[in-house]
Amino acid sequence: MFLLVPLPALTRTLLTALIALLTLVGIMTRPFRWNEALIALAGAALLLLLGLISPLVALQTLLGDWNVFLFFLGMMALSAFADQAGLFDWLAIVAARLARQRARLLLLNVFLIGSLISMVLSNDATALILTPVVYTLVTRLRLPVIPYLFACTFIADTASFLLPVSNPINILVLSRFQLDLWTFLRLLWIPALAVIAINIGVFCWLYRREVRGSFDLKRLPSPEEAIKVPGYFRYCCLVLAAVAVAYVLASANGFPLSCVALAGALLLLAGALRWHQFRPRELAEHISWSLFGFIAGMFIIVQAVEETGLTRLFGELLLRLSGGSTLGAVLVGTLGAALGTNLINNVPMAVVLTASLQALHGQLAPTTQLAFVAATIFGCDLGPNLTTVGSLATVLWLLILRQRQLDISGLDYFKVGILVTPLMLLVGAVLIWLLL
Amino acid sequence: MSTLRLLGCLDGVNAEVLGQAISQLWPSASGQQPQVGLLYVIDTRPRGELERRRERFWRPPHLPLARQEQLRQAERETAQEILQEGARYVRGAELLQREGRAEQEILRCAQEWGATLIVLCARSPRGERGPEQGPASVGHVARFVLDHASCPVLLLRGSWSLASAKEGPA
Repeated sequence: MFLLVPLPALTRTLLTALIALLTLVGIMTRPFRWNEALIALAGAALLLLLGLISPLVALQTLLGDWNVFLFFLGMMALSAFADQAGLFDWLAIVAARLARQRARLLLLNVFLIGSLISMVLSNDATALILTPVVYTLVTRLRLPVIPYLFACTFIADTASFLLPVSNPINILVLSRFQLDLWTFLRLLWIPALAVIAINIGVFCWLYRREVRGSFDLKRLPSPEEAIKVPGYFRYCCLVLAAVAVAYVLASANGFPLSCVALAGALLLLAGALRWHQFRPRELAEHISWSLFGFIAGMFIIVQAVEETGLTRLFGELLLRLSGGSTLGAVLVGTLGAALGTNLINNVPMAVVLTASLQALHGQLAPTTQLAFVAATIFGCDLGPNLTTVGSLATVLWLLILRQRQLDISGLDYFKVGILVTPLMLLVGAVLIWLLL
Repeated sequence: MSTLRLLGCLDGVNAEVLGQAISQLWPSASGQQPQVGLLYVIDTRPRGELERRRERFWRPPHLPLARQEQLRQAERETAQEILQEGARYVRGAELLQREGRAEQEILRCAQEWGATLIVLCARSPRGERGPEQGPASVGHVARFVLDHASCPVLLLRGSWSLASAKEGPA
């Protein structure tokens, strides 16, 4: 209705800020368990209806971020095809066989395959596909489920900045800041290895009683049992190896990573058709369609906020908090991102932070900007390990249930997260600063 | 005098300990053999963890059907194995399987089955963190059963049960 009535700038700013704030609060609290995508899209629709962002600008924003959308699609499709080929089951069985019947070694191997899968296929694949596979495996081996389950869920995020493709958040941040592969690796590879080592070390200590002893190898299926069609499995491994190499080459040359992911997915689709393994329903189950709505909504909302100059103010606040130093930038970026991801989930946090940093373009020294960008990636990737649930509201809910004498594994996760994540964040942040 | 109905709670690693304890406390020569039921509960809490994780990654909470079936099959087969193993140590025992939160299912089953005594270990040596002796040495499942059971509960302590296991059956 306001499309026809020009509003004063202050009113526009206040309205936009209010809608953005309400959307973020909605995402944080999820009233009536509404889907976050619905909340984000409702916020964006309201902005469009009130004329606080023009449809053309909204469209341009979405089209400008095509690489992010297509990467999400390609990444999820790659994981789905790999799962259909039995790759995850096969890897888990091989990891168990290599553990020489020792439960502790199996925990270590779960961390290692989790890191490998996160690195190449993203944290999404580790958290969503590897975790139930490992769950099934340790159930058969009669080992306690929780240490292995938590190992998968933690390592998914801990190992998610080994490569730009290891977490879609990285693509989201890098779509606004061109960071070449060498700089990415120089700043984040060593911190990634350090936090993985901390994660493994803390878990081995924390679960030392549960994972002592051995398991019976007879209960373990053979690796061949995991492979449904050997020809398709081999083909799938070959394509994924090629995709991994192509990812590195594309990152090094600034080629859009979404094209690599989609090309890989198309090759796997061709293979699935050739070996009669194409199951569209299963494939669709692996793809989160609501995620696209959520990102689209968030992009439009943040763009509207950007136009009011509020993101610039937020960026300036971050800059002031950092004191203009690189150490300050790394610490403020890391802690801000980590806290934000636990309040409103890491996708909106990454969008808000990158928009704020972009608004400061030209105002930041190159090293300070680099520090902020690396810290944003690091904090947004690792931060969710603090609560796993990605929202403070859920943690509070778990605490209430705990008072009623119910044992909740989510709360266990929070306890582990609160123990290990701040340590990893601190060590990683200091390492990033040293590597700048 | 009515027969003692004893509900033994299996946790996947305690079949031998439970068997030893029952045979020591109620030797077959005594002529007062209790009716024994062996219970194993498939713990569904870790599944809740999987669901929360999926929601964080913007997926519907339930697993894809094929994966869900694979997981349930593994749980059911393992539960059957554990119960059969228990039956080897406690001959003639009735085998009972439940699904849910272990502490709540033990109490529910005890009531439905008409148990007059619940026997369980203070803490699963593999299932939970915590010391074998001293404060917090009783795990949350055993603690909950002790707090809420409407019949007597016999708690087997780790050190006692290990020592008896080493000594062999009386």
